[in-house]
Amino acid sequence: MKKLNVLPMIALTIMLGAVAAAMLIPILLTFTNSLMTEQEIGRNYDLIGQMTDVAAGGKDAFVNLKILPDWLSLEQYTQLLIFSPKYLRMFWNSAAMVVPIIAGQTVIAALASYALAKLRFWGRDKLFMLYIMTMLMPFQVTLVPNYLVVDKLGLMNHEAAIILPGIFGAFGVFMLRQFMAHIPNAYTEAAKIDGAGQWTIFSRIIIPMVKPGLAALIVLLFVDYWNMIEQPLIFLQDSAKQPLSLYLAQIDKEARGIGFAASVLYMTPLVLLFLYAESYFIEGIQLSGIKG
Amino acid sequence: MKKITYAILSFTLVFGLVACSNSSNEGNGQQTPSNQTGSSGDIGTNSGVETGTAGTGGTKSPDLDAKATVVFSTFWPDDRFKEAKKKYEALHPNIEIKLQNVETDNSHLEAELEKYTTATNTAMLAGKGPDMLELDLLPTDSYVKHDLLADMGEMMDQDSTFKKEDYFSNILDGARVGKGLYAMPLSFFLMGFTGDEKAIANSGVKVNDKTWTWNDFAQTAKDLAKTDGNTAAFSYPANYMLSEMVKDNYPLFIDKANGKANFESASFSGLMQQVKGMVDDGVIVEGGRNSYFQSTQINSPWDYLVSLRENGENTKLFTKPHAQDTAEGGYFRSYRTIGLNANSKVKNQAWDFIKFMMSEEIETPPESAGIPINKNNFAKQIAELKKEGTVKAYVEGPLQGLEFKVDEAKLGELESFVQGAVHAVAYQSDKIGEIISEESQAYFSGQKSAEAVAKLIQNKVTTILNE
Amino acid sequence: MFLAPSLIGFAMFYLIPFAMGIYESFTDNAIGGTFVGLDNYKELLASGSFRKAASNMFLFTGISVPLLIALSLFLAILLNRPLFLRNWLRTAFILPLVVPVASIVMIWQIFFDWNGTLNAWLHHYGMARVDWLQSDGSMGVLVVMYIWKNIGYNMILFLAGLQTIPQDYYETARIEGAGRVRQLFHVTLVYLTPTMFFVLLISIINSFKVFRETYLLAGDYPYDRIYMMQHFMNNMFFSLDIQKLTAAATLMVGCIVIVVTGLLRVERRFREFME
Repeated sequence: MKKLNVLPMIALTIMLGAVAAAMLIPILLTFTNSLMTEQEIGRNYDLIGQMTDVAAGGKDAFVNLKILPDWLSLEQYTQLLIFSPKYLRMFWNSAAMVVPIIAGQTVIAALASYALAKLRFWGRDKLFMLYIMTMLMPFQVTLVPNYLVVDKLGLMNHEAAIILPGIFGAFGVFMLRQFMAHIPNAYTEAAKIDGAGQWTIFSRIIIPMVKPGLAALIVLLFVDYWNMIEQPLIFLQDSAKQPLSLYLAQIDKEARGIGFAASVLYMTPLVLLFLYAESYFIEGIQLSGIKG
Repeated sequence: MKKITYAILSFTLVFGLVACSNSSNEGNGQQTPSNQTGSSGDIGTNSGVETGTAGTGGTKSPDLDAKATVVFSTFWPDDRFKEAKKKYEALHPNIEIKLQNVETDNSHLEAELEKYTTATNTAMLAGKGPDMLELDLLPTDSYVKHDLLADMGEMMDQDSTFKKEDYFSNILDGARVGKGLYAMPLSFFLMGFTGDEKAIANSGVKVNDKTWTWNDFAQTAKDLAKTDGNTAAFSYPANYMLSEMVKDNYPLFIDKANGKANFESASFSGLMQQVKGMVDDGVIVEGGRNSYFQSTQINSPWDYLVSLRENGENTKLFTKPHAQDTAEGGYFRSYRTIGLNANSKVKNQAWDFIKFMMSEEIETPPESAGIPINKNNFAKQIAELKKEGTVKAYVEGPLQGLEFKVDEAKLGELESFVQGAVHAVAYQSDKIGEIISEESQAYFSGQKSAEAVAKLIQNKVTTILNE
Repeated sequence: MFLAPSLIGFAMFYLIPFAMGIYESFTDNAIGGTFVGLDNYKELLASGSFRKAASNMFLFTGISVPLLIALSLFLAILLNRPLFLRNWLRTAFILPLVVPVASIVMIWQIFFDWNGTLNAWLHHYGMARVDWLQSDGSMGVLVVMYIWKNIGYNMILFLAGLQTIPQDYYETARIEGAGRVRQLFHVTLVYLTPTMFFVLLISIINSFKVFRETYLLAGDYPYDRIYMMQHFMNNMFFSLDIQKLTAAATLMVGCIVIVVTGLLRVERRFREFME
């Protein structure tokens, strides 16, 4: 922090800002398009997926992504909310699944990854490999065996059929193990010499040091499970138990009339949470800055 | 060291658990009749009691005294099934029919259907799943290929209370896959052409709809178009026409055994040009009403009368052309097609319920969608129409609620069409046909060249053939 | 003891299904199948579409994953420096993660369609239009979609990884007279190796997920340049051909495992070297 060059900083900010703006365009479009009437959407995007007849003068028919609505309208939103009062319930369903998964997976994965990263036992790396391998398997492959397991446990059509596999997911183990592998063994060795037990080492040394990893894990888990659509959701047949992701994020691509508003409604909680968590996220990182 | 023991212990524990439960699942030789009920809305529950093992021959009358639950899964909710359930349960108080369907709305159809198919496939592959399923939207052929559906043909043969002569045997035979009848059509639609009999007679072109193939039909259409410049021969989208013509000359384009497609060839571009030529010469038009022939689907005897009338007073039904290498005969599409899970524990009860749904107990008014598989029900519909003497078309339809007299002679002809329908049209149209009609649209609309389209078709069909 | 809770659940919900899945690939039918050895694999390797899917997957992963990692690392390093509006910029890059598939499919479709916006621009400059998803450039479309969606994901991981590098390492390097570039290669990248390894695998896994968008945009039989392993597996699932599906997945996982084992070995050597 000695020589702060303001000019390159401004240049860099502008450059990154431009890239960020470009990346935000699709999101911006989703938002502005959600404020158009269904009629306007229809008029704009009618030609998508069509082959206009050249003989009938359709040669140069094109569709442009329209940025600004002709006039602002909340029609899409009212349509969605009036015809699907389930919105609140599904929001709750999503939260009721995602929160236990995140809490559970974070705790269990932290414990397991400590063992995999810092303890020595036979077959450790092979076991870790197994964790990784299951992550790579496409869901269709394990669908039928999973069905049998869930059925055996009597969890069919119960939220636990989603939550339990979520808690034991390999992602957290993998990620935290990698972060713990960062930590030089000198730290743990020193603690051991001071007479600290494994538990103390884990809770006093390791956990504080992987805080940035934990923060990142929570954010990523949240995104993954909030967005979940395919995986084990077929084990929830009861439409009263379905999460938001099945409803708002699964609108057919032809149903553009309400699709944009649905997406905005779907994204809003996530974005708010992100903005809120961002400060924590950054703070967590600064706290853990290891001062030598 | 402690940790390893722990790990190994929990490992064996879990493995053991699953192994045990698996064995108990398979060895269910003798299940005691118990009053099992599954949790509601659960696609996977297989509650029920095993009574007299089906399939081992000697089907006695099903043990209908024991309590049992039959799970029947459909995609759409269907009042016909609800009514049948109510009636059947009243007759058999010990049987519970549990109807399951998906709640969906227009903007989620695609996703919901995919999820339904995935869930049903998974359950079926796990050896569970509903006892009965409506197959209209499911991959029936794949289920049959993997022995997941029971052969109802066998059950029909062994059941002395089932009178085969009461049903349209041509439809039942047409619905067979190989020798077995795995998908029972409770009703069906007729696929055919409507045509202006008088105008065709006036044109002097000979029409032989009993034997024509699509190639023959194309020739007939050209002859017809020549006679009168103002009237097209056939109103049909060009891309579908092309797809039908390909089916007619299948071996020319597809070599299934070697996984080869032959669309980038002179014969295919020739075919495309031929169809395009037919469009340019006004032989076929899209959506236009002024043509000798129209393609149609007859949903019911009432619909038969209305559809014919919609196209003019002298309209007659014609048999749809068949593909060159298939036998002569008309086409039908089965509707409310029911399958029986091969792994169901209540097959006899389920079969009894299917039989019930096929029987005269179910009321089928002449305007309800689907021509009934039961001949007596069909006869009743005809009789009822004759008795009423007039029919009233849809108010929103092209006839604007016109009331007109029932033409008894025409109604009489319907039965021969019903009897003559032998080819089943799959609900899910075949992938190759779909690709041809979809991609060729760009050619017929003038957006892409014939070569570009042929290349795309070749590209995608090759993928399918080699999967 | 630390491992036990995770292991039990993991075995039940992942390991057992995984093992059963692999076992399926050696049998001939889903229910009551008998052991047939390698028959399914022979059939699989004889399938031209499988080979095409495999080579497409290698191509796609080979292009998009290194590209994504390079871009996101670059971004993370830049965003880890003092900047104006740093928090806002970070959030902007993360936001594509929260956009649901449905909305993004609608936007991409309008953009890449035959009558779509991209073609409208081409037309404006007097060029012929291209059927983007049905051309040899279609894989490029996928790469764009993939990078757009995942750059924030990797950036989060890299940022977290960068933060765990003790500042005194940089001090030491500076005292020893290392320049910016040397610091990057000898401190940042070295200490980022475990994160890098993780990011690499997650990027591969996320690259499978582009399938969802591709599937919704181009259907189950797309142009063969973007006919991916996931298309093959998905189609096998819907035709209930579990044997071929599991065999394909086993082969695919096998290949990735070989790569990963190699990487793990490198990582271990690296750790030993550090200690």
